[in-house]
Amino acid sequence: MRFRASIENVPTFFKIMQSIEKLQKKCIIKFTETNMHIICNNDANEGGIQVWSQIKVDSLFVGYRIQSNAANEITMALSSEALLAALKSASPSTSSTYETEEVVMKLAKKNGQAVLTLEINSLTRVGRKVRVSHDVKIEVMRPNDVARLSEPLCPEPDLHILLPPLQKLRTIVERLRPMSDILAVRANNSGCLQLSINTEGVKVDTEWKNCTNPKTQNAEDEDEAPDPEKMFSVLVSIRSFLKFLNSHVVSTTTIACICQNHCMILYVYIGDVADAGGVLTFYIPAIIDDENL
Amino acid sequence: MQVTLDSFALKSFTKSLNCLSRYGEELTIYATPETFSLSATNLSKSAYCRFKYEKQFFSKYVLNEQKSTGTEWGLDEAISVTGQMLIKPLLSILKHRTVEKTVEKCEMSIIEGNLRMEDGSPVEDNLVVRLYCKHGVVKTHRLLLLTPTSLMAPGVPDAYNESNLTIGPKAVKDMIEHFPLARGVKSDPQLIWSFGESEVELRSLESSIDSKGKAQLITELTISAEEFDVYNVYASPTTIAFHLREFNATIAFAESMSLSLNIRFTDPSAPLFIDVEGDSLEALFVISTSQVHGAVTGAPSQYYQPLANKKRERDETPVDQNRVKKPTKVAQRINKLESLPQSTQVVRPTPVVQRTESDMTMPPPSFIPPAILPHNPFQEPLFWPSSSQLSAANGVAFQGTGLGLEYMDADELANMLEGEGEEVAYDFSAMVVLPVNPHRSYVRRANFRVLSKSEPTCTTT
Amino acid sequence: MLQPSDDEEISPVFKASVHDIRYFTALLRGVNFVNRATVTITDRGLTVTVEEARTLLGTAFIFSDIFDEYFYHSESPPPAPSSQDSQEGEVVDNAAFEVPLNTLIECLNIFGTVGPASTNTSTGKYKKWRKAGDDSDHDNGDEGRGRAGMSNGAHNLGVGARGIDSYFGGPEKRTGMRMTYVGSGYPLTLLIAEDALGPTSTCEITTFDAEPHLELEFDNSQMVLKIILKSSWLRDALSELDPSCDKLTFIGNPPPDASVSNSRQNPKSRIGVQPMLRIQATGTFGSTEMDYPNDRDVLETFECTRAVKFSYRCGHISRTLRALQSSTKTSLRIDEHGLLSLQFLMPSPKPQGAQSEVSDAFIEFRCLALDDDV
Repeated sequence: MRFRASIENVPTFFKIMQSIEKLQKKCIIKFTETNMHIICNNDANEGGIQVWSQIKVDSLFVGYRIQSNAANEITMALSSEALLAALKSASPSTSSTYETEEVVMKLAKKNGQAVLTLEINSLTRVGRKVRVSHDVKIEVMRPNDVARLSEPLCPEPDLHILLPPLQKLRTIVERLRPMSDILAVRANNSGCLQLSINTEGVKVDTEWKNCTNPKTQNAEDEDEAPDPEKMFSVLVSIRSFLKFLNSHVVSTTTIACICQNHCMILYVYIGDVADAGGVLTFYIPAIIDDENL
Repeated sequence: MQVTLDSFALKSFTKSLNCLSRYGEELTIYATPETFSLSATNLSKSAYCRFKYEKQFFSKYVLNEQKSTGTEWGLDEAISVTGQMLIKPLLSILKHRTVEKTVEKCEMSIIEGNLRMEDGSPVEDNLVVRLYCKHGVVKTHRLLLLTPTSLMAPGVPDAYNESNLTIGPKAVKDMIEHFPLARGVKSDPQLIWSFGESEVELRSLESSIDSKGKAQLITELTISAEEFDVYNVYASPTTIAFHLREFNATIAFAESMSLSLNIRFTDPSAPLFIDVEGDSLEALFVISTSQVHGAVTGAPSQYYQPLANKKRERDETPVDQNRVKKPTKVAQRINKLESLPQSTQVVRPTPVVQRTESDMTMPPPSFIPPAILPHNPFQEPLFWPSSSQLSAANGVAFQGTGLGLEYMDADELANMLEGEGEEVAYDFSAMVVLPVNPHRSYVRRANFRVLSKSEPTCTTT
Repeated sequence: MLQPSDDEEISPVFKASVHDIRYFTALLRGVNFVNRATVTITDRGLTVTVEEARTLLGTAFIFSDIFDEYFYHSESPPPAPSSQDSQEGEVVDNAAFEVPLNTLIECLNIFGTVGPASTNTSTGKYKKWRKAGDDSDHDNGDEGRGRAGMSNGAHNLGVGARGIDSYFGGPEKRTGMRMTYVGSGYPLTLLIAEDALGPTSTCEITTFDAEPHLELEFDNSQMVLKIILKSSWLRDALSELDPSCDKLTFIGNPPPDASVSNSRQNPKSRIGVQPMLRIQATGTFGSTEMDYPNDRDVLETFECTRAVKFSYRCGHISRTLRALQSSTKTSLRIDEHGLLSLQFLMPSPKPQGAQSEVSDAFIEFRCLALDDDV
């Protein structure tokens, strides 16, 4: 089992881990020959939010080499906080005042413990060499366990809609949080999106009129031409939704899918949608509560 | 006593107080006709700092000749004023954001409560801080002043084997910043510094501890010794370890004053001395170090004047002070040990409790010792909740040994050490302090790896 | 909810709109120390009143002209179902209801656009405010730093800074609002929008029948101390007090001699003299005295008929800090019985063209003195 790569795009990797770390203390990373998958599938995590992401190797790494008996795939579980801390130290934009020259990530074994090592070569303020290495403890997962990892099953979404900038959504949802635990997300096929809360003391509906509904692959649906004004809705935990909104640091475009009374799926694109370096897929299960819809 | 600071001096004074507040909760004031000192010690007495201002620093400096407690403490100056108080209330007055904008000068005086109340109870001393603000507004704060319980003066090391280094605060900060701190206020990581011929290596002892208490990240940094402006290491490599909390406070102070740090140390069992010198100001910081392989010396206690802590004194007695010094040897040993295979031939005269993970190299227990004791429960809150350095460090170290040291009493431990080939100075006080706390068990595991490198320390020859 | 289901054609009792909600929100924040507030609507404007511990009363007086549109339609000859304000016997034409103030402010700030203080709403600003007495010193310090970093200049509340002006500088987008109250039993409805393209929020806040609240009449004929000073002096004084202080005393002495009082004296000589205004507080670790001289730069007006000394609970007085933040001038009055009236002038934004002069709103706090001094 061998793995080695230079991290070319440290800031993006760092931002991805920032969104992941806020979601779950521990995550699974699966490296394949072409992709890095970051997975948070812990049921224990409150609200049941999951992340299944796929990031193209080329968008983060150069000199990427991987080799294993499991079809050249390596899957590991690690502390997201630890990896984030290591990336932070490598990240030129953050605390470090050193000028980073190269960041190599590799699989190693130290004192019998498998680690993901980040070797950072950089220069001090006055241009002297500094070497920093971070060993992030990992558990390499056995192929059997990897095979058991499976994405949640969802019905065909009722609706796709492009979300307004997540930062903006986050401000709004943060205001709503002290007032309600449950958020209703509604949207239709003519660009209307609503975020609502409804409690005994207050009812707040925030509405966007001019969102875009992306074209879905199966065009047959459009022939049937369902009422474009028909609203589809789903109730989710506000806390879970806020956790998803932490990905605003990395997002450019986000598509939300509503599977009415089942779940919400959110595709957070890293980089341009057209030339997306990757996508983080969030699943937020619906809260079934007939009273409020 | 009455001293006056102009707004410029006040700023610098407040920075000192800010640093002192990160060392300890209590401030000791000691004024002589020539100098005005402020000092603080952390709860576990493992870190000490002192700011000494010359009287020129103040725009006015008057010392009354009434009180002289100095002699009482065996100090030279006959005329002196002392007092002790909580730092926080004073700091919060002086660092308030309006102070910088409006205060033109600050007058501090100690008003002695020599008088007695009618009922015979003494009137407390007061520190009166009077702030003269713009437009003639005057703010007067009276703070309670106590008589110091002890005046601690660190001994000045004058060792033949002293190493000294000079470095700017920014350069050290740049290094330390790469060591992520575990979250939480109580987090006080330790770094291991190895000063080699031409390179300095820093290693984290524990960091990024997850919710289950396991260290998930180990960080190492290697930098050219040239990064230090002065680099005189008596015997390279020398390896020492110490906690960052107070060290960071010192760096922050030095940075705020744009002053360099002069670092002195001898061996891994003696404390680290840092001098920061400015105009009319001498700041001294003393931070205890721990031996990397798990044995920690109670270094500061050798240098301090008596501490009002009987327990500690008694605990110290079993240690033969002469056995402490083995500086170069310790360093060499550590290096050599890096490559040593993990040894399991640990022979001890006393029973061992096996409380480690199965992947540890310790043999299973032969039997359970008769008394698993939460020693002296009263001692516990004195040190433990503060997560103060020495006690915590020692605790970690003891647990790290896996020898069950944390369950022995002082005599048992002393006996055990007698049988050893290597001379190791333990600070026994820490052992007493250690509660039997299942939640701390991660520390043991986290540290064990380090221990294994230095195992021969604890084996019989 | 108490919402009647019939009649859609009802004309609302109250309707108002404003193109920039920041001033309105700042005024509400000034009294946001108790959640339940009574809103009273009259022809001339709104008052928002909160009370604490039957001792402290905070009222924001918001005049109708701060709104772009203001409409009050009296709920026809009121059969007075609720006892609102009728105690006095005089017939005041108004409508009153209670709302959770915190919710109202959160809703106004839904887009995070009401100004710097909003940055920590999500982190429980309200809670923090409530326990201002515990930890106010540090909180304030931190807030100050945080804000200074956020909007330059906005919070360099130097001595002469017009605090609230900062809310209105800058070319940022404005958030407008329309507020409607149909009548008793209906919610207070807000329609909030940032601009034509952006999202709109509709908020319905449940209202409650107004309960009679504490009456603290200040009788000017019984006034023994009246001071007008820059709000920043009082704000600094209160924020510097040790959080452990529980009692705060205002001491006023008649000016020694009018002829000397104008000259700037050397501070030294002043110490012996009785200060004209002294604010005194005692805490666990010591005591604090703040002395203000007879200097027009400090005390703009000073009227004191006799030596005055009254104490108040520190926690109550520090409730005024939020209002003080945005206020420019403070009038401090104390009557014979120690009733304290603090009025804070809250300068209104001056419209660009200055076509219409908008009256400055103000916030008043009244507080009963602690018994031992009466």
